[in-house]
Amino acid sequence: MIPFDFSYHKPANVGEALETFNNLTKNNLPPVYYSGGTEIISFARLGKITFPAVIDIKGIPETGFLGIDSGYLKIGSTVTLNCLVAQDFCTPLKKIAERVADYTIRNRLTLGGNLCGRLPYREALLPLLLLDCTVLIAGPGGIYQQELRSLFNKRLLLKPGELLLSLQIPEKNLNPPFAAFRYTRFSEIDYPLAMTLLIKKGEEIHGAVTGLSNSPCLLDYATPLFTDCSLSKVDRAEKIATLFPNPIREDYLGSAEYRLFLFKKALAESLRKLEE
Amino acid sequence: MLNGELRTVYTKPSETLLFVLRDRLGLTGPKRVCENGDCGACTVLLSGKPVKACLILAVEVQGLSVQTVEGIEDQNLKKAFVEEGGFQCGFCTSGFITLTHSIFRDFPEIPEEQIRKYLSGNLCRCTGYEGISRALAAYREKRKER
Repeated sequence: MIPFDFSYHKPANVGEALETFNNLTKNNLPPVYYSGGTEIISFARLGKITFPAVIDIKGIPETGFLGIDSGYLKIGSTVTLNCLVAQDFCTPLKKIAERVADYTIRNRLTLGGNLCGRLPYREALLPLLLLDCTVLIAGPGGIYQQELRSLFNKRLLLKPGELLLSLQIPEKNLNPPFAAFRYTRFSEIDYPLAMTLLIKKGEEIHGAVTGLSNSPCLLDYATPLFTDCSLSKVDRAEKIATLFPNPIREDYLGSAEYRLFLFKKALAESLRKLEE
Repeated sequence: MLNGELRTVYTKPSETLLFVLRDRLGLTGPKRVCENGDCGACTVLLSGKPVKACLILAVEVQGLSVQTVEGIEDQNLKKAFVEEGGFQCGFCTSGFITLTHSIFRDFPEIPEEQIRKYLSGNLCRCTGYEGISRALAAYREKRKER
């Protein structure tokens, strides 16, 4: 049970959502935006967060859309991960989504929640960052579009009051050759110790990883190394892992050393798969 | 709509669906165990889809249909659990029955190796899952006979 009271608001459109946010904030009741709610409820029950109000954005039509429109795959922020598993527009996104949590929970986990949450994994970010996704954001200044990459620095940098409406991926980017590996400690549905996604863009390989450090990380530094044929795949993986720029997590799930080992394994196997 | 009946209940926004079902509406089929979305003992069907009631605010389900194990009328499935030793303490059972009911309804031809994947969010500490597997196998055979 959540040990504190709060008010619940469910606006029917963007304007109403922003107005509600404004009014609550003016009355010293700073709300949180609420999508699937799994993380919010879990953290609230444990007393890790408190809030005087929630604004449930599932009633806003733009947040629930999933489909191809004007040359883009558009995905609303309240689209569930199981809907992403069921779609066949974008295979990398489908494959990443189907490994997150379990089937039942994925009926509530939303793309927006996965991206904006406070857990360090945010696995759905990996394909979106690599496939040149743009995001549609509503805020006090209006509705605007921006490249996801420019909004991402360890987490999605939304300003107070801003609301993630939807994301879009260019249709031409939806199904590149890719390799994804996810390693866990106890069971398949556990949090990842290391989850990598590598995609081929023309002659280049681009990658991203999560689970290794405290946030998802683009492997931009590794792009020239992925295709350095003067080194074996194992040696390339070793070098990329050695140059990883962030501190590696160490916790009850796994040591930093073990995570690094899994990272190298994932990279080597990904390179093998992509070069088949 | 709860198990096919229109129900009205006053709840606080902070009350989860699990709390309201059990403590306000007396439907104790869904169980309060981890309250963290890990064990699946609180699984119910929301608009036909399996969800964990401990991670849903009751206010969210206004206007939607909720089905608990009490409202599942598939006696063959429940009988399979009884006859094949699919439970010991019974705490996880309602979650398994609710989830399995929806899986076989939505994916009637689901291969056996796939069903474990779908059930991975439900935990049983008593049976070692063997009895549950036998129950599902028996239920699958019964469905084929129909």
